[in-house]
Amino acid sequence: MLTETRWQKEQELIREIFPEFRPFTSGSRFGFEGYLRGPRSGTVYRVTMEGEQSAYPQWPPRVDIEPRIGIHWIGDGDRRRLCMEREWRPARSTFANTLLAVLRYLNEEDPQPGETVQPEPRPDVPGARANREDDTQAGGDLWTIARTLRNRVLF
Amino acid sequence: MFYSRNPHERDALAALHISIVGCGSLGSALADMLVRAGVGRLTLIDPQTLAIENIGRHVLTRRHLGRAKVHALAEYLCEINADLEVDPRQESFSDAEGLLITCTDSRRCESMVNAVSLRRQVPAVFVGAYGAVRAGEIQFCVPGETPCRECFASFRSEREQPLPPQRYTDPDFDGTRVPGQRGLWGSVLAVSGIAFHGILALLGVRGWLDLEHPLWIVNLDYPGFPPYAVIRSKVRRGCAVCDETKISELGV
Repeated sequence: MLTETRWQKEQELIREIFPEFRPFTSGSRFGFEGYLRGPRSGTVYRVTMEGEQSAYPQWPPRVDIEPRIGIHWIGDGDRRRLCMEREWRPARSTFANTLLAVLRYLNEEDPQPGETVQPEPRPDVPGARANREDDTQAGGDLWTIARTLRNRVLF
Repeated sequence: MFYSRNPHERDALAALHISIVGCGSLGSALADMLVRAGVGRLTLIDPQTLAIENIGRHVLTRRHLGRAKVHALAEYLCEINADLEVDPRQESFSDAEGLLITCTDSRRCESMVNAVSLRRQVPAVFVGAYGAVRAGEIQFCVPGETPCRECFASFRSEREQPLPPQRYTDPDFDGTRVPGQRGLWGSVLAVSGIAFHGILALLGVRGWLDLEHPLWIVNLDYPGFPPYAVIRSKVRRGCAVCDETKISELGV
């Protein structure tokens, strides 16, 4: 069950590492959303992480990436979500390290340009294809990836 | 008189409401013991139906095959005590009242039970087994007095062995359903029997529960522990789930 203290801390952590990601609440749901650019394709992905107030942090947030890449998707319809190989620990895990896991997923699954048909980046996103050469340097541990990819958070 | 051999136990337990989350091997055995001891009101929660492979380690029998575990178990328990008030719920856990006893192999279910225990300020007992019941694990959680389940779960998950790579290649692999050791049902009864006595102590019916050592490892023959022994341990208290002041320590 989400407490106000926990929600404030979750926002603080996200602000610390991904200030462009925005918190939201919608009825009993809450979470963060923002945009990341794929390290190879340059595709802009909309990332949504959403929890249920009555079940967080006991249950991890549901993660959606649009457009969807990779095969690691479970669930149906609007409840379809990314299935990530990570252990969720309510007393330790947060939205911030969920986002790090999303970064790792993008780093692994984002296709080479032309390798797989991907929707075009949103034309209204400034700089959507900038710094592609730098983007390909992402690698190593999560923090290295995070530091590298941080420059690609668009909003 | 059904309870003429244990009238004091019956008097202490008759008005008690206990919710058992998970009605598999351990849950069914504990339910059996609690009803024979005189518990008057039970809520049973489990979404599964009874399958043939359950029979070797369950109080239910072939005549219950294919039925919801909770409904079949409720019927079985009422055959022990016809006055038992029982509420079978074939569902995943979301909420329950009374003393919470959790006998599930789902970490998330345990987390939900822990949250309800903290919110309702009611004790919860977590009973589990690992290594094909070569050892059991029992944790007593009393809100405000002991560490909660997450205080221990976070500690444990950092030290657990990862699941074998077989899970990536075997579509039927299920880490919670490994083949049992010889003497499996006896092992289940040993772990649930010790848990049952811990619950009696928690309720003040028999003995005294040392809340400074709320984690019990019931070792049968798991390597690295003394065989056939109960090892009682301390758990560091305070985590971001049960203690709001610890939330500030959350990091990335």
